[in-house]
Amino acid sequence: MRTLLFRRRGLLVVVYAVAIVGSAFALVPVLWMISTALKGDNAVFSVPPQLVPASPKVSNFHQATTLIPFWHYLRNSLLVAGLGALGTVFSAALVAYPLARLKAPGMKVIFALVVATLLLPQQVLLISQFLIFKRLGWYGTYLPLIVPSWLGGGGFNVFLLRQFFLTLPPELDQAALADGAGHFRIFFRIILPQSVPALLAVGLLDFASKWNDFLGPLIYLNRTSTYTLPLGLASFRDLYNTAWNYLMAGTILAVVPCVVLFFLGQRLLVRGLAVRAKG
Amino acid sequence: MKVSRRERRAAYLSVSPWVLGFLAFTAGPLIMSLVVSFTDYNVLHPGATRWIGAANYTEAFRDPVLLHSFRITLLYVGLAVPADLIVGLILALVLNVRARGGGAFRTAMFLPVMIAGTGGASVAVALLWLWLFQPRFGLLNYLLSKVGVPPQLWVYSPRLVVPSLALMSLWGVGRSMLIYLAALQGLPRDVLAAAQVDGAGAWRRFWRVTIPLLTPAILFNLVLDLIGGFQTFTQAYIVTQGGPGNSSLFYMLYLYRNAFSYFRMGYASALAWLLFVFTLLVTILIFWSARRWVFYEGTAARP
Repeated sequence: MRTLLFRRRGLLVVVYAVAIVGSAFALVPVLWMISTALKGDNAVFSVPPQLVPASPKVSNFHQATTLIPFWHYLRNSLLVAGLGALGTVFSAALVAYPLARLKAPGMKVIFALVVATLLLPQQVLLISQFLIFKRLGWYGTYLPLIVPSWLGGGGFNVFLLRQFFLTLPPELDQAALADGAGHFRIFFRIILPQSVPALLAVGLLDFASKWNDFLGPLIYLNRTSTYTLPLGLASFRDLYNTAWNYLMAGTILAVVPCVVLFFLGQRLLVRGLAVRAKG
Repeated sequence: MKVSRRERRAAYLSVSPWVLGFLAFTAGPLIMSLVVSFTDYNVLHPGATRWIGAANYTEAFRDPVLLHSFRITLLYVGLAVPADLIVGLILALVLNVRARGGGAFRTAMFLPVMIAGTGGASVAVALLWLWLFQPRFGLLNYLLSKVGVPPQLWVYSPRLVVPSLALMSLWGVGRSMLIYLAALQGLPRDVLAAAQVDGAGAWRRFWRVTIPLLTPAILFNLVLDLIGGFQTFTQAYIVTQGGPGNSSLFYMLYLYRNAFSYFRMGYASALAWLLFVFTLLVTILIFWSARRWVFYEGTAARP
């Protein structure tokens, strides 16, 4: 019994040591970012660095939003990521529904294609998609960043939602069918309401990836007035490449919406990823 | 019979947006990029496009810059992927131990993923790390000086730039950690308990039971990391612009430049297809080898 206790204690020491090192590696850069964002113009370049700013300047955050049209970029990002994520959730659910719960010839082929897109590096499609969107006259608009989400939803999300729909009891549909409900009525009235956690997890992940997307906006957006936040931050850096305090303040403001969303949805995410990992 | 026809109609109607999107934005562009890769398509003079056969491909195989960018991309993947797989697993195992403060540690380690998004590096992360790497005023050299390590040039050094970017990518290890964690929490308790009853020691249980049961999650992370790693772009574009010299000219950055700086869409499409075929071969190789090392519940247990 004593050796077991000692073992348990030895294990705990190792566990805490690793957890502390891991957390420090994750947290120290974030603290450094916050500390820098609060420094005066000279304090940024003090050697050795001030870990805690001697006289914190909260006004840097306001300054950062005026050096670039921050709120404008934020609005653009909300528009692109919001409409995109909404489209992803809806269209992924729409295709996942028959794959999980309806019988029709060809559904297996569709599912195989969904899985195949999951393994296809999207970058292969980059250039020809660009040429197509340019031909359509969509270059310089948000359409290339939003429309594909409404017609597809991404292999991962379809896969995830299909797995989730499979776990819902089949009696749900049968009872509704017996009552004379159509399949789309079942989809909207029964399947979707029963799947809110999974839909939110998909929406959250897709919103985050669109919020942070850089290559897409970089290729399709040509006017600064249409820039999303990642492009705005990149241009901020090109304009003021040594103003690290303002840059870090702007960066913090840009990541806050996503971090808040993740905090709120952490539980959902663990559940969502659990289904994914089984694939 | 009437019901099943209704069911079929509903199914086809329901998948039709996806099918349309698949044809327009995936299958179509995939074929089109193959066609373009056999031409000298230039966005500035689309009318003058000529069919040039395999010339783009023969050029690619002789292009020393491409070979270089392929090599450093492989080097990056070789550093970043194993680090992510191993560190992510260690952190997940640690967090899986029920101990006080576990939730706080998990949130802390996942914070970088909230900042970076699940796609790996973002502009925000790139800017933050550029500042951490700053040789004179950055935090990294300051912390190292405390333990007697001389200051490094990090991303400003041709020798260190790729390892530095791999270190930066390790900051997002929370993503793979979370997948391992989810898999660990889904492990069948009866199997673990049975091993304990059989008298297997903790170390042996770990290697013979826990790790085999985790191999599906390891495979999942490996494939995801590899596909993402070969497409590394934002980090290099923001942090180094491919420099110093060409020492961080990742494959995707070189492809991007050919397409959108030199407007050589044909050549860039050939590069995209070469990367695609390479990624596909690696993925097939992994899935083929997975039969030997990935353990699926319900399949016959191996010794």
